Amino acid sequence: MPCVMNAMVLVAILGSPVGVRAADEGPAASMFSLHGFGTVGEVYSDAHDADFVGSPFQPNGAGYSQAWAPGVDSKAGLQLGAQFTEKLSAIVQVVSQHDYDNTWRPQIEWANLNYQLTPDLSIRAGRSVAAPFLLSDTSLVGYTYPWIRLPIELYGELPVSNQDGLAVNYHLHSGAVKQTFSVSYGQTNLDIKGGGKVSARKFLETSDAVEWDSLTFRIGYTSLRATTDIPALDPLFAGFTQFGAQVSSLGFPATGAQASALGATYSRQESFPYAFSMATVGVSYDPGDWLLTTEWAKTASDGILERSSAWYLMAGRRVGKFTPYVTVGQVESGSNANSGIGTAGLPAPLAAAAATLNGGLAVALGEFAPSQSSATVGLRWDAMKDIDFKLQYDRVRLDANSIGRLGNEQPGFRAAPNVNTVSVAMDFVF
Amino acid sequence: MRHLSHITSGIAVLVFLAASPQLHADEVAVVSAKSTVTTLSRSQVADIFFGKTTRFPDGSQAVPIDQSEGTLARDDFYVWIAGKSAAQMKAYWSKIIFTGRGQPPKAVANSSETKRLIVANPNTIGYIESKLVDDTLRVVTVTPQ
Repeated sequence: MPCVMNAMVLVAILGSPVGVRAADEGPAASMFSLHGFGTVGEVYSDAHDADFVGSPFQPNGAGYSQAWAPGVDSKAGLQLGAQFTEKLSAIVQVVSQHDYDNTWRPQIEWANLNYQLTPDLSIRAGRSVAAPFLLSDTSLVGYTYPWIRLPIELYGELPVSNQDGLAVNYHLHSGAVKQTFSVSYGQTNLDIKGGGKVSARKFLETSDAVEWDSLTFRIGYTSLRATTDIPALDPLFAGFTQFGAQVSSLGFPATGAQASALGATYSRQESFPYAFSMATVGVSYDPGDWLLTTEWAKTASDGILERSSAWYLMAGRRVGKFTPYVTVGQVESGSNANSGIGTAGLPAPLAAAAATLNGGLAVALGEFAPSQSSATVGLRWDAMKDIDFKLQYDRVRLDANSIGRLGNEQPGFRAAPNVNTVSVAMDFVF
Repeated sequence: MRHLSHITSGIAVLVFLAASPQLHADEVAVVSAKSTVTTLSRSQVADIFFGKTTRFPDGSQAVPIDQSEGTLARDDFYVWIAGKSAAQMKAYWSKIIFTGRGQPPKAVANSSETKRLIVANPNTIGYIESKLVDDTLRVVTVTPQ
């Protein structure tokens, strides 16, 4: 339980009277503002041989590791803002969440300087939000959206929350229509369990958001050079190379050459940078008593990560302090399936070894080609000032040969057709 | 065609209902008597209080004076001006704050405090109960569109 303890300590610090006072007095009282947010949640999942996770960076979740997991959604953040002059401001945000190494060590989520050149044009330097999607601006702040977590099919397409670099924002007002153009350029590095690294270089994001009355329409385009280096896969690819040498020496040169080629190809693809791009469209209609949100994304890749498309559609209704909602979503990846080493004509022990390698390859490739759909029903209750409670049920259907958005899959993982998940959460802000 | 006309008249009724002014408590938007502002649309008032603009339509500086969270005046004001509940407003400001895009307007405890600040600064705009209006203030005519 040390992880929970750490989160509690952070919550206690965030909730201290100093923070509350600073936030209440507003900008006029001080150059500094202090705000905090957090989610305390538990997730139950009936997934076997894999875990339901909130992001691919979580080392475990609900299902195989434990039936109920607090780490899928729980997090806490503290944000200090400073308005130095009318034009120059700075912001630092520190967030504690279930991280790749199974700790809750607070990380610097944002640390940037913002210069307001004109009332409509600003430039930002440092670590800032990465916002490829409509709602990714506040992806960590559960209080700002109806669900317990943003729809995983779409938001998992680029699960990166910040980038180090430069960003420019420009607002254009024409009558009742307000447009916001954003361009950012930078890079980001992320760790995954087992010493793996994921990085994005030449990380370019552009978007145009149009707001008119209750309607928001946004288009975005992201491109980057990705590296997805996962050491846990190295033994598998090395196994192909070794097997190739072995069967060649035993008098099966064609099979040997095929196995060696597979090992070389995938180990190169897995560790070399590749181009990744994504186009997105998002629409939200929020007239007050109800809300509708939908987003689409299409990705392209020339590396081991398969091209894919994802979407979701949510409808919610506000009835007093309650917001019931339903959502359907889907992600579909192109097929990267490879039948692996041909076993025809091999003696039984060699054929069995080849089949084991082929099975490992199928699971590994499945990680890079997520395909699943889900249906969600939930209820948000704005119980009191600054605090909401949420209850959500997700039914996830995995496609054959895919782990979908699950994580921590175990050897011999075979997709059960459906995974049922029940989540409860409390969100707070101050 | 008959069906079509039923549908269009149905839509017309819906549009009318959506556009009809919402009932609100006995509250008015006010500026200083020294201000040049006389008429604003609901969406222009909303833009100022939502931090989407820092100017009145004539280009002069606009400084919104809000009332504290949890006050009846504030809850009624946002329902009137934007059709937003207190929880929706809180979610809206959480989005703005936690993207570093801004801070909510300065908020004061009640209508008499609002009045004091507005009289002191001709760039300000606020909302108070209509019975507190006197000749130091001007009631802004708020049009539906």
